[in-house]
Amino acid sequence: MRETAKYTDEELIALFQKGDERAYLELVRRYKDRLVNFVFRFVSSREMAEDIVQDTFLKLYTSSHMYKEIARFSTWIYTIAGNLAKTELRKRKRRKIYSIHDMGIDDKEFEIPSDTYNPERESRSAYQEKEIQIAISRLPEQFKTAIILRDIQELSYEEISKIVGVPAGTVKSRINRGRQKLQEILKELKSK
Amino acid sequence: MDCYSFSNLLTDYLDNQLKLPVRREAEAHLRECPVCRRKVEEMSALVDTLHNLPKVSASDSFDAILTDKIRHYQENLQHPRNLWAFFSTHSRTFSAAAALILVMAGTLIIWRGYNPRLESLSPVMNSAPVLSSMGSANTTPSPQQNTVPSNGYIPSSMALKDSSDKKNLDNGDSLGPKDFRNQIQLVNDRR
Repeated sequence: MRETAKYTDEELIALFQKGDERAYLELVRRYKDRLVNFVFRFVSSREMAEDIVQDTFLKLYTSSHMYKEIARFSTWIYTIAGNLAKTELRKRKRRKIYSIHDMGIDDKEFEIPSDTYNPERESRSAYQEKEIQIAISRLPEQFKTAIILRDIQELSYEEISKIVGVPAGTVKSRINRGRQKLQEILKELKSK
Repeated sequence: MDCYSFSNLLTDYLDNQLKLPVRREAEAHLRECPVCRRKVEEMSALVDTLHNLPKVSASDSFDAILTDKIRHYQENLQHPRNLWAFFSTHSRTFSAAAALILVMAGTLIIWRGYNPRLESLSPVMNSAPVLSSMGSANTTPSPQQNTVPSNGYIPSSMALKDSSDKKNLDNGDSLGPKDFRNQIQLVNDRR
């Protein structure tokens, strides 16, 4: 067992702030998959998701002093990754007149990583993964963030509230409206 | 409980966030209302699908690329390879410095433009070079400024700087006896 594995996230970041690079590596090991999954659902591209998460960890490396113990480490790192993902989406929107919001089911650009495809699960599920991914991408940004953090990353209302910086009641309302909107979009996609 | 109240509690109901008495009320409503039951079924299917979406994980090359990015950052910090890399690494610092300089320059311009005390001081400041070029007794003139060439030519640096000074000279109001004597001496020297 790795020596660093016994520490909490907050203890690890404290160790890294004192210069222990093993603590940094442990934090990367713990969070890289979670963050890649989170950002991938945001930007719909694995390559871009990995790039953003690497930039998140680079920020952790260069700005670890910015972390204060008042917040949980997970909240802090999710906030950085979320902000980078939003910035990237806005940049992409500006660059492309044809945005991912306009894509349909048959668009090949909408990437579903091959290692996640499971025909058996797809047949059991009410919706195809690609449909879900397109529907998520069409959600307004604040609903998208709430839905991904709650229904995909399975974070608590309180944690989402701290990441997004709004009261828990607002988070709940965004989740409620986000799910309804998602359902409408999925019905629309099915009817086409 | 009616349908409207239930729809407001739908998220809490699905996420098991309702307190027991409210949950019982919601369940009682569901037993009676097929429309809300259908809503719960559909929403529940959607939430399940979202929960069970395959997890996308980092690729094998993730760590190596991250290590490269960190190394690249450190190299840039130690030896900026080119000016652009240096500027982009410190873009925030440079932007803040440029903004600060602009604000300070703007404030200074506005302040000098509208501050009456400075305006009253400015003629004195502006006249200083004129006085020195005229060889005022209070200043130490440079040899070039003080020298009147033997051919009587008056260099432009010794000429009056602007029309207002010329006017004052014409009127003779602002010239003291000493200045007047200097002028006569100047004419005599030319002869």
